Parts: sequence; C-alpha cells; structure tokens
Amino acid sequence: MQFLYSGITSGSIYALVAIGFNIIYNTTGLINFAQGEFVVLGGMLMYTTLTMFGLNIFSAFLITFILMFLVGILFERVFLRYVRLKTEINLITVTIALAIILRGIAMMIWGRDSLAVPSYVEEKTVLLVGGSITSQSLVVIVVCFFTAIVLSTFFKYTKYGKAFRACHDDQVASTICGIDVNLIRMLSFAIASFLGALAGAIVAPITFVTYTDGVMSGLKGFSAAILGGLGSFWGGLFGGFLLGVIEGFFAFILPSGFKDAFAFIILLLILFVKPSGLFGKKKAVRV
Amino acid sequence: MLSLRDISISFGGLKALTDVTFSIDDGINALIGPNGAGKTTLFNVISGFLKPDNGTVVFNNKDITFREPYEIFSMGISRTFQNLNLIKDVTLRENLYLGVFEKEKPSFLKDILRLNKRLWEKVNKKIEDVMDLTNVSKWQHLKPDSAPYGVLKNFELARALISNPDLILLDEPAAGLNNAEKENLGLIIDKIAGMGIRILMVEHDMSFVSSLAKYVVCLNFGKVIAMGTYTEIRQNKEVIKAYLGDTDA
Repeated sequence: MQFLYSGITSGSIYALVAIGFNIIYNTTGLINFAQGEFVVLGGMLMYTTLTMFGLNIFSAFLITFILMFLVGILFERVFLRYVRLKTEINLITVTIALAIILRGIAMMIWGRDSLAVPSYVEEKTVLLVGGSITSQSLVVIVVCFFTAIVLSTFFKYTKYGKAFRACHDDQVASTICGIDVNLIRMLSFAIASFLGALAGAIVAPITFVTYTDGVMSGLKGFSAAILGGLGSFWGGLFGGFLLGVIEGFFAFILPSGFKDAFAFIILLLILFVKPSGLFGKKKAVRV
Repeated sequence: MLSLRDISISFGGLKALTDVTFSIDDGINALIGPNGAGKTTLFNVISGFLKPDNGTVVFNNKDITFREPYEIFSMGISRTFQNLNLIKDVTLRENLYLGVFEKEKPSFLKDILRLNKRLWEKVNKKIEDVMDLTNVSKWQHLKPDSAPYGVLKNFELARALISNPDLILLDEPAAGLNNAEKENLGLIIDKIAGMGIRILMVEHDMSFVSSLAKYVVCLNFGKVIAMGTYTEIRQNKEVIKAYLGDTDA
C-alpha cells in the first residue's frame, strides 16, 4: 500500500500540472510547454519569501500566487499575443522558448543548488492501512482535491466559468455572446500559472526545488493530461493520480532509476492505443 | 442608425466588396444577391469579424469600423450565422444565459460567491420572455446536438435577441426551414421589429423577403447594384439580370 500513498502524493502534483495544461488547451488549443517552469517558479518564490525574506506562510503564499498570476498574464499578453503568424506550431514553439528562458532566469537568480523550503505544517507521520503518509503529503493531497473542487464549481456554475467552457467549444459563438475571447485566453494562462505555482509551492517542502525541475514536472503533467484525455478537467485529475500510482508501483518493484521512464511509456501507450485518452472526447470539426 | 460608407475589402487579389455605401434605419431590411455577392462578408465587416481595407461603419453615430466583435455586440448589434453557431457544451438555455454575459456585466466576486440574486432573477425573467417569444421554451434543457434544426434556428434568434440589441443581423434565417417553420419565423421577426429592434437580414427566399422587408439592398460581385422597396428592386433590370430572373425565386 505504501506505493499507493506516495503515488497519490506525486499524482496530486501531476494532476495540478495536467489541469493547467488542459485549461490553456481548452481556451487556446495550445500545449504550454512552460507549464513545468511555473511549478519551479512557485517553489522558488516560496523559498524566497519564506527563507530569504522571512515572511509568514500566509504572506508568502499570497505574494507567490499574485506574482505567478501576473507571470501568466504577462506570458500571454506579451509573448504570445504579438506573434505575427499565430499558427499552433509557432505558438507552441514560443512556449518551449519561454520555458528555456524561464529556466535560465531561475538559474541566474536562485543558482544551481537544490533549495529547501520549510514545512508548512508540523511534521508528523500518519499511520494508514499497510503504510504511512507524512503530514506534508496529506497537505498536498488535500490542496489538490480542494483546488479541483473549487475549479470544477467555477467552470460549471459561474458566468466566467461558462465563458471559459464556451470559448473552448466555439470561439466565434462566444464572441457573438459578447465574451471577450482574448480576455479569457489571458485568464486561462493566469489560472494555469497559478495552478503550476500552487503545485510547486505545496510540493517544495517534500522534494526541494531545483531550477531544472520544470522539465520533468512539465512532461509528467503533460503525460497525465494525455492519459486522462487532453482538455478533460476530470481526466487531468484522474490521469495525474493514475500516473502517480503506476509510477509509484513500478518504482517499488523495479530499480527507482526506471521510475521516470514509466510516465513516458504510459504516454506512448496511450498515444498508440487510445489517443483521445481515458476521458477525452473526439471533437467534430466542420469542414 | 447603421451607415456604411465606401466599404471595400479584398482577399488576396479578389475584391469581395467595392465601395459599398448604404444606410438602414427602422424596421426590417434585407440584403439580397447571388451567392458570392459579398453579403456574408459585409455582415462580417459590420459585426467586426473582418476589418475593411477602406470605408467606415457608423452605428448610432459611433464609428465601429475597427472595433472587436464583442465590443460591437455590447454596443447593440447582435447576429446569427448562416451555419448554426450555438455552443454545444452547454444547454440551449445556458446559450441564452451566455448571451447576456457582457450586457449584464456580472461582478466576478459576487458571481463566485453566488451573491448576484437580483441579477439572476432579472436574467431568468429575460430568458423566459425571449423563449416565449421565439417558441422554444420546451427545448431549453437540451444541448444543441439533441434539438431539431428549426428549433436551433429559433434559439440562435433568441440568443441574438436576449442582449436587448438595437440591430440584429440575420444571416439566412429561413434557410433549411419548412414552410410552417418559415411562417412561424416570419411572425417572430415581425414581432421583434414591432419592439423597435432593427433587422438586417441576408436571405435568398424572395417570398420571405417580400413579406417582411420594407427596404432591400441588392449586391452583385461586391457592389451595390440597387436599393429600395421590394417592388422597386423586383422591377430593377440589373437585379433581374444578375439575380432574380423573370419570376420570383
């Protein structure tokens, strides 16, 4: 059972990253390959505010989230909006370039060493059936579920949430409803950036933060999104948990060096066998 | 209220519209012409989906030529499309609900906390009224994929109507409808015009146009070739040659 508990913890992070991928994909049709860098920046900013500036946890989270929300806005408004030829391949290439730039900036500011972020809760080990889980891991799982419920409620019941869904479905129809599609695109990057930062912030006390972490966080979140079905909110959540648990299981029975490979084996399997993912819908295109 | 002056637009080497100039005021107006005449292109220019190379679009004394579609919508012009353009992921009622999105300007925080009770009551009342007018109430909880075509056409009209527009652009509203549905649609459009909302429609069904439109503009190869009442247009030799022929379509 222990692999299950640790799998759910890492799966929570993959799920948050996957949901970030899906939100941007749904409103823009893009894969944002800088999503993993948002995770790193979240962890780095928590380190800066808590350890370097000595702020309390509440202020540290608040500053981190506000800054990352702004990073998301800046990302879309400055770097993606002014691309002259907005083909999907061009815009995705821009996100890859920005991921590399953000990684470089993170290295220059915070250095190459792994940074330790202090635990947000008193460190305890909770005994469960067949294993145990740390209090910090419980925080990660609870925050992930809470965020998923809040986001789901937002998308389902609020006018702005419905505007996001409408933009996903048909941007022309959304426009004639008076929805500012550009604003929704910008907000989708802001929310995805916030989600990445949230993932990075809550996992930082468990894994430490290194400027290169974004590559693996991003690719695993992407694998989770593909596994659940690109664009599916609950698919992203479920895909994240499933990927975490499978990864944990194989790390348990095989040398841990193979652990990271499983995310990509699963990614390939899904692309070969069921490209729409477990919960993805095939979208009809008018020709 | 809507005034187009010297509107021209080209796509590559093709001139889709050339110096299109006309104005419409009250009531129901129609834009007719053969396929490829530039009618839908002109609708796209008026509603902001295309920006003209030359010319101006003035609506209620404001230059809207280079405004974004959502801004034009909020200034009082709504529209329907030749092909249905309803949002498939939400119910038909929710489509109407999204149609009031910009006009009502919901407070983000109040919306999240569900404190917009008065706004919701007002919106729901408006949705009920519009659905009654367009005879679509019983289909409201279906998603667009599950409802008949004629109902969806009326829902598109309802969505165009729900934002209290001053002008509605209807792109081939009667296309694909049977005679009973056309008759019903004609009555609805008449009622809408009776509420003081101006209509500009693109339509190929001349009996539908003649029964409703008080003013008709005819386009051919992107140019205005005639304008006037339907009777005047029907007798115009150039229109007869380019589009109508000797008998009504």
